[in-house]
Amino acid sequence: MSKSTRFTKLMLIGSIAAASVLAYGCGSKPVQQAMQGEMDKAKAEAEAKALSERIKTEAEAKALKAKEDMEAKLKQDAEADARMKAEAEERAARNYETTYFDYDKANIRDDQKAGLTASADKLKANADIQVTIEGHCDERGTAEYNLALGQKRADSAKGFLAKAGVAADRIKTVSLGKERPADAGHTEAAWAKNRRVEIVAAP
Amino acid sequence: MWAAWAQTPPAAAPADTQGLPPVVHLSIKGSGRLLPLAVLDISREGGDAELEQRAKMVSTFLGDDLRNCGRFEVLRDSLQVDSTGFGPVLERWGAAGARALLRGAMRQREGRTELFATLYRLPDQRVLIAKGYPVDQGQALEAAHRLSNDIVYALTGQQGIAFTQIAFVSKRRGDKEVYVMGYDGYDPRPVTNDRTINYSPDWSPDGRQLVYSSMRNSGWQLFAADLVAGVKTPIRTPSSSNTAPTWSPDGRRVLFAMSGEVSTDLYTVTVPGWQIQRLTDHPEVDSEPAWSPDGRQIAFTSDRTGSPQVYLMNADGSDVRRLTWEPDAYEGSPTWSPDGKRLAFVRRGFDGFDVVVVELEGGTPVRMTSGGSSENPCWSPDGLQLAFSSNRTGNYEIYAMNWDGSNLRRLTYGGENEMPAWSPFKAGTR
Repeated sequence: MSKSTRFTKLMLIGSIAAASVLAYGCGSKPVQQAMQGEMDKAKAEAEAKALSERIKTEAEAKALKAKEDMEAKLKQDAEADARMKAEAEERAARNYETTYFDYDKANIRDDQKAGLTASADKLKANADIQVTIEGHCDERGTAEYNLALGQKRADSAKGFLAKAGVAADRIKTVSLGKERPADAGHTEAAWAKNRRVEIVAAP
Repeated sequence: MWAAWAQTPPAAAPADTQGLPPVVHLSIKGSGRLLPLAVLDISREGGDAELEQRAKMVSTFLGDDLRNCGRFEVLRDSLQVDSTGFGPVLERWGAAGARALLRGAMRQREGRTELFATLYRLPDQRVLIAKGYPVDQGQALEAAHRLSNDIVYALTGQQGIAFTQIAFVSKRRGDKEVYVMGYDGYDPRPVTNDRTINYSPDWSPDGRQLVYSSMRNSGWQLFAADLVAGVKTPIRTPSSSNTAPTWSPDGRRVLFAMSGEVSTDLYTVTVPGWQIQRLTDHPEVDSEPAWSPDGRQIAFTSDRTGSPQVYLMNADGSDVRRLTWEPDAYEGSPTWSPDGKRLAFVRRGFDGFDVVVVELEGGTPVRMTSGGSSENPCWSPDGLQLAFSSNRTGNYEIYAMNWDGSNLRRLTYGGENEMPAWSPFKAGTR
């Protein structure tokens, strides 16, 4: 309940009380009293009616405003949804699947080709994007050998993308060897996750 | 430190004494046999508690140096010489089989403190060293290093390693930076502050520069850091993937692994001048090259038979041949002993890698480490020791040992320390 509505209601109650006190207080002259009573009653009724109408109008205005607010909010929400969806789509367009490799190997496995092909399609659809392919290894090789192996994996993925029609000059490669494992574990499952290349948007 | 080694007598001693008569003909070869050396407690003439404290410090440093030079079996003796004289002491130790005896006395003269050291050869009791070493405030470690090197030279005719340095890579400040520390692990100090990944430091033959590979400019680029001038120079190559650098024995070129369109191969680049020469051309990875001390051969790691193995070739890239024929072995990080007779490398075992050593004249590789993964071995300049990194405690730390695996000691404590490179006898640092 808004402040102004509460104030109007209090005014109404106050007026009725004042009218009855006035009527009760003039009991000595009956005719005058009756006339005065009628007049007062009519006046009070008119006042009450006007007030109730005012309240009704205000309530209607309030309901209308609430409805308008609700509509505006729905519209806003819909816009936000659309924006998020667009952003997600844009992210997805720049988000590339990780490609995994066999132990001490740099060739693109058959089961990894779909992911890389999808990346190639995204890159072809967004010709302004430059990317860096990062090559990674599991922890089992020597540090320097792994830099060379990670580079070979990155080059292998770059070759695949180039063959799929992505301009080679849009793609940089770098090896991080065993410096940035995706999984810090020391199990075959962790190693399998770490033998990978990641395509990242160039800064 | 620079000034310290420059003053160390006798600096003229070559690493290889062939053709030069050693001062004393005590034959010590390899690290299989240690020379028994009796070391008496350092005595002092008068003095106060501070002098005694300094005597204890020198004694500790000297004991470490003598043990860790990989040449001596140190026999401690707390005996104090009494009025009967020193002769009986020498006779007793001579009879007990000690080949030399060291006696030291702290003394103060004209406000300066010195350690006066006397080294006796046994059993003939000939005096080989009788010399004062200043041990004023802050000089205890240097005095111990100088005396230790003098003792090594007096007894073997060869140079000691007490002033050598070990370069390494450490994550102690969060990123992988190049550091240098004493061969004993004392006084580590940063060489780089790149806030990136730096890899594979290696010393120039004159001990003045370090070459290393750095990610500071997004790809892997080689840099030469001049430790005396404090200047770092990028080494120009046509690739953005330059790794595993090592100086040629003549100091004019850097041998390294560079990746091209197909794979990583071995190249040399002149420093300066930046002239590139290709040494290998194979579709599989070639990396981790090491130049033989005579400059004629190169050892490296190659994946050409389907798993990483150690290979040898001539320095021009000809006559590539596999070093070992262990089936299914996974090998890497070869490094030549300074006399060119042995190769240390790593071979994967159960927990990770172990350091193995093979005699190049023929012989089976012998495993020298156990526990955790031991990687990136490097030789001390006298060829008696190996340093390497190992994660046996859960984190990577630098260790050193006699090359036969004995006298193992840990040199670093905390912060992930890897890729040690032992300096030549002379190492210049700021």
